[in-house]
Amino acid sequence: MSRSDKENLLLALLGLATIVACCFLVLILSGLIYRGWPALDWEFLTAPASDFGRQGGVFYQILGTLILMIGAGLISVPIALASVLFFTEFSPQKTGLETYRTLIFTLNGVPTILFGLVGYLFFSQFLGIGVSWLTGVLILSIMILPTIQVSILEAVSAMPLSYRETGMALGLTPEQLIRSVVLPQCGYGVLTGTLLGCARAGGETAAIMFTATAFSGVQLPESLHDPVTTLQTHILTLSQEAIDPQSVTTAWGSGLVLMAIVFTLIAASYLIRLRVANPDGGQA
Amino acid sequence: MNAPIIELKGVCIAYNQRTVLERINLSLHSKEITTLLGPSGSGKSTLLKSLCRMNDHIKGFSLEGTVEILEEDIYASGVDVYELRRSVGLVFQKPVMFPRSIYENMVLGVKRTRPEWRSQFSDRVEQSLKEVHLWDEVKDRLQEHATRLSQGQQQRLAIARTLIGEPQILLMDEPTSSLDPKSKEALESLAIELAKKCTLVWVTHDVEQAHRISDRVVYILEGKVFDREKASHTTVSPDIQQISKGRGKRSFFSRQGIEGS
Repeated sequence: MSRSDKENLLLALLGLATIVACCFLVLILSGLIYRGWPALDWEFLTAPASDFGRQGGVFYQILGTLILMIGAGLISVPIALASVLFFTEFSPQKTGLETYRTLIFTLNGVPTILFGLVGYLFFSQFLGIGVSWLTGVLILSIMILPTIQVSILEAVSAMPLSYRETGMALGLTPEQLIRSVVLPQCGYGVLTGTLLGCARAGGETAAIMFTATAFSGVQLPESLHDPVTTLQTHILTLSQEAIDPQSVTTAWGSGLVLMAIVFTLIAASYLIRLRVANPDGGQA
Repeated sequence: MNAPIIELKGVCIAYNQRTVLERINLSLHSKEITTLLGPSGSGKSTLLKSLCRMNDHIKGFSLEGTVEILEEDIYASGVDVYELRRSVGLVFQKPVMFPRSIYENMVLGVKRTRPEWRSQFSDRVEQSLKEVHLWDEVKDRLQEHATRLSQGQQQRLAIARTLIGEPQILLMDEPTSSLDPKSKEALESLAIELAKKCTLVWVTHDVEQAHRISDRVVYILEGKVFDREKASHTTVSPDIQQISKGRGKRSFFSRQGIEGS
């Protein structure tokens, strides 16, 4: 086989792999839209579920998902930001940064069910919070922490050294450097990390299934110890009733709503990155 | 001869135990332009940055001996390194502009370090930009992105941004190396003007430039210093007490020693 034949073969294999990867995404999306669209209308989005989720809408499921997502984000972002800034700005000569980076990636690789299990034992049982939205928020905040940390760390690491040196040369203290140089230059990392972290929390089922959610009979939590109902739990439970066509349609509709929320967050983070990469909007 | 404004006594600098500069003894006087001249890698930038402790964050950096600025050992414990850097400004080889407006770039440092000047920011911006002869070129577009300025304008803006903090000493690390001949000439003239106001230490590997602008040329070769005086182009009348007027002499760089200007 000649060198050009080998190159063509490699190109064909790479192209095929790309097409397969794209096809999966298109298939999932088109299947979701095709099957979920009939369930979607204004009432589906604004009405509470009835008849054990078979009828009605997903209003409280949407609210439950948003509560867990936003709550997790609110707890995670300050912790992620503070920990990254501690190692990049305050640790003398970046001591421990590599260990920290390794820990983040390790935490990112932990199966989510383990977060649920440990969270259940610690928050629900040991601290006595029980199966509640707060337990879910705390578990999800730990789970999405590495996603946000990685995004912030990448943004801080990508900041040109010359920016940092210029700030230092102007006599800025580490705290002043953070406020004047690091945060304005790396704020996009915080924002995209938050959005991606929230998207990850929004898509999570296993960790919150037995720690924070209930399927039916739940509306808005009235205390720290109340569970919530979420789109994920709704889809999971309705899918188990596959013989009932109405349940399946509602499950697909819920899936489409969840996908829309997650995609909105991912698209927003993508747009922010795009804006940072091209701040003048393409003008000189 | 007046007391030196910068004095190095037996200074040895090393990175990871590898000696870069050895046993340097040097005295620099106020309101002079001193150029550190030497080939690439000779250690001149390292020496320059040691005068404002900008090498501290580099892993493996170590300095032995004494570096005195205004008669205070800047490497002694208890020295406020941030206050030191406000008094000893540094201009880099390539101008660093933040992707913000010209005005915001100008006040980037003083906004945090001199908040008491807030009401005077506009006047100080104008004054500093005039000092570097940039005011007429940018006065109508202070809100424009600084990155849109030419390289020469950016370098003058970088100098103005340092000057706005009123440093006593200005360190310049090959400031003309990325400029065209016209901007280079303008910056050299500017340096000579600025020397009336503050002490300049200028790093270059351009022998002709060193002799054009300097009161004094210090050669650095293979980590050693060879010092030579040059006929002065200005009437230098340094008075250390005048320079430190209004500042506590014993703890020049400590927070308690600084009085609001």
